[in-house]
Amino acid sequence: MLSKTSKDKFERLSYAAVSMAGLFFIWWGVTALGWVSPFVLPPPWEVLDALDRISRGYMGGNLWVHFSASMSVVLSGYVLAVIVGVPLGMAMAFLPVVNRLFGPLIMILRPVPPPAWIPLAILWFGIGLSGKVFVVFVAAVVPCLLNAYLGVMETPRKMLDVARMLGASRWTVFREVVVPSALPILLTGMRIALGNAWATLVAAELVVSTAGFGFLIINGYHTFEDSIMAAAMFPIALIGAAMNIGFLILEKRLVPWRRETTE
Amino acid sequence: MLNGATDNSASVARFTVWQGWKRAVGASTTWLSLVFWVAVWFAVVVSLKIDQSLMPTPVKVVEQIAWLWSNQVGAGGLMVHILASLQRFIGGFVLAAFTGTMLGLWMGYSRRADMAINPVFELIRYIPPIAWAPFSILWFGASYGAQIFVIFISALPPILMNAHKAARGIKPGLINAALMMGASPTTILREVALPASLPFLFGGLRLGVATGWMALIAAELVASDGSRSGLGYLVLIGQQTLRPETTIAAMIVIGLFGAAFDIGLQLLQRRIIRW
Amino acid sequence: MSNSISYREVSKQFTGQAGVIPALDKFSFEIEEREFIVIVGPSGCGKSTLLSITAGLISPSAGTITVGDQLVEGPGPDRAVVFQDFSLFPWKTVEENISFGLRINKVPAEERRRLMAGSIDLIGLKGFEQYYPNQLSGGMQQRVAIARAFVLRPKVLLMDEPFASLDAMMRTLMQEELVRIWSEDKPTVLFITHSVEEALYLADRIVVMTRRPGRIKEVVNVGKICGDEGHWRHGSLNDAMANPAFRELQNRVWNSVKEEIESR
Repeated sequence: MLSKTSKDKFERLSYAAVSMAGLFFIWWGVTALGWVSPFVLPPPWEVLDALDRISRGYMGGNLWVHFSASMSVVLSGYVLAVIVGVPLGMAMAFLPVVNRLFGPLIMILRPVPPPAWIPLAILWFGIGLSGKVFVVFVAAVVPCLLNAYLGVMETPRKMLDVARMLGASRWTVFREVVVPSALPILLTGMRIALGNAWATLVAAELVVSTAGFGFLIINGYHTFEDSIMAAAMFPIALIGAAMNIGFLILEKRLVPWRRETTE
Repeated sequence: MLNGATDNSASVARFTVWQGWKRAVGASTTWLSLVFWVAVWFAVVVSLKIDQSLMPTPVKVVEQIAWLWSNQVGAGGLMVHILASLQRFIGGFVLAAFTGTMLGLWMGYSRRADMAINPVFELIRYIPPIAWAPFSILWFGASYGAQIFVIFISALPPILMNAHKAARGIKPGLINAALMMGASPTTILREVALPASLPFLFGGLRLGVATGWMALIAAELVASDGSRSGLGYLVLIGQQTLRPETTIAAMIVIGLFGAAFDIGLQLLQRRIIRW
Repeated sequence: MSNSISYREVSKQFTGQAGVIPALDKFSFEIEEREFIVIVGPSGCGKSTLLSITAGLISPSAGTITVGDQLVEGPGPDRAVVFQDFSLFPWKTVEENISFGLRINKVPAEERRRLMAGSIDLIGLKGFEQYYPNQLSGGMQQRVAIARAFVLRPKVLLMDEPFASLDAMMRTLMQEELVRIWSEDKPTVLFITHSVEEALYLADRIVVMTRRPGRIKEVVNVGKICGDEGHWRHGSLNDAMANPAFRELQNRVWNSVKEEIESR
């Protein structure tokens, strides 16, 4: 979807700008003219005001408080998922016993959508943070595990032969052949896992929470403050985008030898 | 089920759950392993004397599934809930499939359409679909429509992106060959572009099914339409009435359907794409 | 003595879905040290299998192979392999690819650097040390693969159709390059190819194999035919091909192989 010449870039940018501006004007116009009730579509100025209110302190915290509430849960669950999922996935690729033991379990659990775990988590952990961390963990662990497994399994046989031919020990083969070869697939899985984690966190916060961006949405809904609801959507989208793009940049740095993109 | 492989549909096709399932179901170790885990579940619950309102035994879950089949919870028996969920899912998914494919293909062909629509799409794409749920209730009321919207918004991105990739990825050589033979634009679309795009489209559909199914459950949890029906409703009511066996029973059914959709699509793909 | 290869009744069968496939049948042959042996034969005659067994990447169903006086039991840098698809590590630079073997065989850093620099010079890729394989052309990649094998000073060099994926001009260049590089140290070479000209140009002796299961059909002593003038590989390929003895041998070998391909 990208073009190289600056003329192309300019064209793209201008189309994008016109598009966005158009949408914005429609939004503004429709609400300013009163064609749509502010309950249905909060006007831009109200949303701005809401953002301002939140940043000054709303429902027990300002932007930073809600941000760290959401992020801390996501990061905890995610890190846990990586620590458990990646080694386990690799182990499953190397040791058939582990594969036979955990494989069927994962195949059974995988089709159950992470949000379905939320009520169970509430039952087990109460309405506090640990329940949400658990659900985020469930959401993130499968892509990490699966892609770790795939990454190792797809190591080209030839590469292994070459390393053996050169006289490498098993540990060296793992470190210098299997890991670099698996890295692109693994990183993609970890990126998807992060996206899953974020989406599931928002879902969990919509169900039960006392802070965080999902909380802001659901709270705004209950107090009939549409502008707060809308305002909260922005940071949610921004964080999701930032995480995705940040990860892509990370991938580019860690895997500089790949010419193709994975998106 | 959002998970696994890459969001590049070619890789999704590579790691086919069907092949995994076929091989696994045949292998006796799979069954042994599952029996093992169920036994562990049973042993843990019994030996640690876990409160039945916290974690039921597997036996209880199976009993509950049977019970749910012929008895009522909320709006009806298990079948009623299944049908309600399916109704919502199919509504939202079909809409997403149609819109996503059309839009995606169009954006693939027309650079202008791509440049105009893509920025908006990228903006919306990063909002987790469930975040739209409260708004959709505002717009559509607590109704069928609200839930369809959430499923639609959730299934749309993968379908659209893959359709776009599909349209972009068609080798110009193929189109040129058709033009040289004197084919009209509609013929090219139908006989060259569409078949060439199919593998990608299927990949997108499979991803869309996964995200859509996930969104359905989330929508039933968060944006109930008041009808007290649906598999998500069962999951929730189990927790609220301290009967986790209902919750787990519902989760199992949800998982089964999710897997069935994916396998179904793969089989369909094999049928239609024979090359 | 130390670089000679001895094949004693080497056999190999593969069991697949179609049943048991015999690849090699009691292959026995003696290669003297520093000899350049080229194997030609129809597809499926077991040449690649033979090479893999010599490399120690697969084990024979029967028979033994000794290099020098050591039994071949597994892979190792003393029998370096150059593959048709180069098989460079895509995540390592040219430099890292070449020095990898040295590093894992515990060659000290100083000497590694020296050997590596020498290698780069030898293959003529100075300035490309930090490039990744996917930034190089086929010919350049294959040179790196050769350097990677050579830098370990192997006793035996095994090459499985190494130039088959290069275009015709590059191929000729590489053949001449290989001779130059090989002349530096002269390991024993086992080279597989489908090209009769390539075989004639490079080989001391050519082994023609039968169809599957592979046995030795005939051995052509190219070195002897070159006679006192010295092997024609030290000149250009074109000069060699102009030689009437070359063309005669070409017919002979080609007909021999053709027989195998056409026999049913």
